[in-house]
This record gives sequence, structure tokens and C-alpha cells, in this order.
Amino acid sequence: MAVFILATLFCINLIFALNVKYAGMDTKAILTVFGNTLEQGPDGSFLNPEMILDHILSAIAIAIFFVSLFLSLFSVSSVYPDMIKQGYVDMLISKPLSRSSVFFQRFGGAMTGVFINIFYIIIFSWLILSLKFEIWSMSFLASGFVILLFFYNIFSMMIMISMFVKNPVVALLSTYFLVFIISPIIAAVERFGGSEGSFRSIISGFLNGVLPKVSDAVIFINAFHTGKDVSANIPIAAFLSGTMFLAVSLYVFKKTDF
Amino acid sequence: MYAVESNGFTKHYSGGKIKALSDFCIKIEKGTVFSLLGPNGAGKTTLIKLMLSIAIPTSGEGFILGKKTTDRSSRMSVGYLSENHRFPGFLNAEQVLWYYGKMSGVLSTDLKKRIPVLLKKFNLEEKRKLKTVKYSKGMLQRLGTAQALINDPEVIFLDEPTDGIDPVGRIEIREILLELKERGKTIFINSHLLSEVERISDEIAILKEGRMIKKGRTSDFLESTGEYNIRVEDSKQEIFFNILNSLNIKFAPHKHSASVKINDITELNSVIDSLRDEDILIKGVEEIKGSLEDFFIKIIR
Ligand SMILES: Nc1ncnc2c1ncn2[C@@H]1O[C@H](COP(=O)(O)OP(=O)(O)OP(=O)(O)O)[C@@H](O)[C@H]1O
Ligand SMILES: [Mg+2]
Repeated sequence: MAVFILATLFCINLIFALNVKYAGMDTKAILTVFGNTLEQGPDGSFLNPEMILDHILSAIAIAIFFVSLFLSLFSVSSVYPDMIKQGYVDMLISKPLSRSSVFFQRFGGAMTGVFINIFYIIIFSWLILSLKFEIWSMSFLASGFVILLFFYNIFSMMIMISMFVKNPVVALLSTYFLVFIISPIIAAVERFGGSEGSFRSIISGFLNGVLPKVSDAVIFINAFHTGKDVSANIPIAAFLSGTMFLAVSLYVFKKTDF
Repeated sequence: MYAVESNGFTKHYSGGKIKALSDFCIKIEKGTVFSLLGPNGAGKTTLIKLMLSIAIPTSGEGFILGKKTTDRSSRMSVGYLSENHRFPGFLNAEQVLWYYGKMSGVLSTDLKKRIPVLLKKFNLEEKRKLKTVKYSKGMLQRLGTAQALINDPEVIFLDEPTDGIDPVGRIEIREILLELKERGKTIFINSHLLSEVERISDEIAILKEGRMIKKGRTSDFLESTGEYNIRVEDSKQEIFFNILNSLNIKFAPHKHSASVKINDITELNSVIDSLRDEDILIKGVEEIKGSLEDFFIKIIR
């Protein structure tokens, strides 16, 4: 519920941010989105309005990506820690249900809730933006699925952490830390290289392979808004990584003594 | 086919450092009320957890109504009350019963009939709309027990069911259990309340440090102690003790009586004869029966 209110506030905020500053787009396109002025394109030339719009939509989609991930993770952080609490989990397992079905019922519930939430934000923002700019961007809508996919990836990791630490706050904070701080740092380190073969680069290579990569999501969302080539590896990797975390979590859940 | 069968269930924790349960074997017939006793940490909860696959055995196997415990259908006709159960606090009693009933595979039509009956039985009718966060410990315990009966199970595992329940409530729960027993249900109880156990159990086993140290019918645990309490008129107390001494009979003197250790009925009667010969008025003779508590303390120490 709280998450819905936050999401709505976010959307209203978005309308204001755009409404105030979207002035003329004749000679000079000056746009202020969330207070940041964007005068020129990345290549130094003035951008034509269409392109600017693509970039704006992409920037908004990316902002929504971060906000909704943040909120969604928060809203589901206690689902598994609560489930595996002593006195609760043993009553669940004593029912004629398999542990897998107990596990996936929660998962299905959480995913459905988050799906509704994400698309609530996306569709709401899409309507506002579309009415405003009269460009009915399908890429923007599609970014909802990218968010959901990455949520799947990160949530699965959070479930795995929960299985070990059994505490929602610790699980949530370590997930935030790994995903929003460590993962981008690692991605940057990997991009700009380091000494090959050193211990540090092995560690960073390993983390880069294992952690959910929000930087990839950003690249991906941006690319299909601006029509650049995108690699199908990005969503596949996110899906595989999520599935791996989920499999480990399920394995641990099945083998634990409660 | 036994209702509950454990074939050498063994559970070690922390890589073998904690031997919670060792080679536990038991066969419980249908319709039996079985109680497992033992000091804290003896392994009572561990056994129930192994029977319900809540914990995974180190070795051994178990069967419920002939089905292996690893098979989830073995839990189809089982009710369980966990020792420190909790319910989602935002649900009220009706919703808890509904939710747990659904998970046990009970049909909605049956639930609609059963829930009001159970709430009435466990005295929760008035509080049925109250969220369980606002429940007292005893109310939660009643709701937990009601929950264990929601699927009308054949085998019921109760881990300390009367914990936190007031004396009147305890009598009510005892009556409910006896009624279930009459209907042929098998009841497995872990308890510390020996006087309760003594009243309702058919069979008892005592666990200590993960090992079963005694098992038998309840009457075996209440065996006669071979002692009688004899009361005589107060003024003749001295003479009474002297007579016992002269007959070479062991006794423990009390203020108005003596507990006399006697080998058989003949000896008892000869004591009485001697007393009557001295014109001592006997006010009462009672056989002293050992309580389960006495037995328990003796065997555990
Ligand atoms: N998850 C666990 N990890 C490690 N040790 C455990 C675990 N669960 C139980 N034990 C240990 O197993 C032993 C038996 O515990 P159990 O809960 O079966 O005792 P109990 O007879 O039910 O005691 P109580 O009367 O206090 O309820 C104890 O020594 C306990 O510390
Ligand atoms: Mg216990």
C-alpha cells in the first residue's frame, strides 16, 4: 500500500518536472528534467527534437527503473524471512504440501504484486508522457518488462541472502548495497580494465559474472529507446542469473531443518 | 498398520556435535493417546519434526498411517500444533482457520461448517473477529490447537498443548482430547505437565538426552510403591511406633501417621492385628501409589 502511494507521488513529481520546463523546441531545445539542464547532445551538436524526446523517454524509463526496483525490493523484503520464521514455517511444512510448492507460492505472490506495481507506474507515466508529447512510445511500455526481468534477477538474489541471514532488514540492505553500489563499481572497473590476472581482477570478474547488473539494464533500456543495437545477451544473462539464485534458494530451503 | 511408527530415527545437529535424538524406535497403534516426556532439550520436539519432515533425519525412517514421512501425502490426515507457533498477525481467528484449512486441502463447504464448531469448542467465538496479534498466549494456544483439528485428522501431534492455558481451559482441552480419542483418533503429545499426561495417556515414553529410557503403558508408571499409610489415634502414636520397631518394619514417622513399608497383604494384616491387640484405634489405612511425577523424577535423576 505504502508502495502505491510512493509510486503515485513519483508520477505526480514527474508531471511537474516536465510541465514546467518543456518550453520551445524550435531552435534551441532546452529541457530541464529534474532540474538538470540538457542543452546539447552527447556529440556536441544540437539534437533534433525527436532524438531529444527519445533520450528523455529513455532517461525517464531509467529513473523509473531505479525507483521501482528500489520500492519493489523494499515491499517484498520480508516475504521470505517471514516465511521461514520458527513457529510459522514448521506449521506450513506440516501441511500436505511439498516444500517446493510452499516456496513457489510465495514467489508467485510476490512477483504478481510487483508486476502490478511496476506496470502501474509505467502505464501511468506513459499516459502522462504520451499525452504531453503525443508520441506513443512502445519502447517505454516495453521497459516495464525489462524492469520486471531485472527485478526477478535481484529478488532471487535477495531470497538467497534471506535463506542464510533470515532477517529482512539485513537481506534488503545487503541487496541494495550489492546491486546499487558494488555492482556498478564492478561494472566500471571491468569496463575500464585493470591489471589482468591479478587477484583483484579475478574477484571483480567473479562478482561481475554473479551479481545482477543494473548497468546492463540501463544500457539495454537506453538502447531500445534510441534505436541502437542491443545485445540479447543482457536479458538472457539476467534471466539465467535470477534462475540460478532461485535454484540455490530452493535447494537451501528444501535442505534446511526448521 | 500403525498410526505412527519410527524406525531408528536419529538426528544430529552441528555436524554431529549435538545428538538431539538417537535411534528412536516406536510403534503406536491407532486410537492411542501417546505421551512423550523428558526434560528440556531431551529431543521431544525433534522427534515430531522428523515425523513431519520439518527436520531432515540423519538416519532412520518414519511412517504415518503406513506412509513414509518423506512422502508428502503422509501428512494428509495429520494435525500439528507447533511448540512456539505464530500466525500472521493481521488475520483473525476465522481467517487463520480458513487459511490453514485450505492448505490442508479441506473443501470450502466443509470449512464453513467446521470453523464455527471449532471456535465454539475452543471458546474463541467472541474473539473470532479479533486479529491474532491482539490475542493472549492462552488464546493463541487454543487457536493453534483448533487449527490442528481443522482437517479432522486421524493423527494429531501436539507439542505442549496446555502450555500457557489456565486450569479451566486445561480441563476443557483434556475433555476435547478424550473426545477425540473416543472417536478413534491417535494423539501424540509432548508435555511437561505430568498430572495431565497421567490422566489422558494410554502409553508413555521417557526421553533423556535423545535416548528413550523407558516406554510402557501408563499403569506401568503408576505402580504400587509397596507402602501404606496407617493412621492411629494421636495419643497412641508412641506405642504405634514402638510396635513397628519391635516387628522390625521399616517406616517413616509422620505427625499423625506413619508410612509403612510392607512386603505383602499378610504382613499388613499382622501389623493391624498387633495394633488391635494393644487396643489402638486405627483411623485409616491407605495404599500409597507412586505418581507419574515421582517416577519421572526418580528415573531422570
Ligand atoms: N536447529 C537446531 N540446531 C541445532 N541444535 C538444535 C536445533 N534444534 C534443536 N537442537 C538441539 O537438539 C536438542 C533437542 O531439542 P528439542 O527441541 O527436541 O528438545 P525438547 O525435548 O523439545 O525440549 P523442550 O522441552 O525444551 O521443548 C537440544 O539440545 C537442542 O539444543
Ligand atoms: Mg520441545
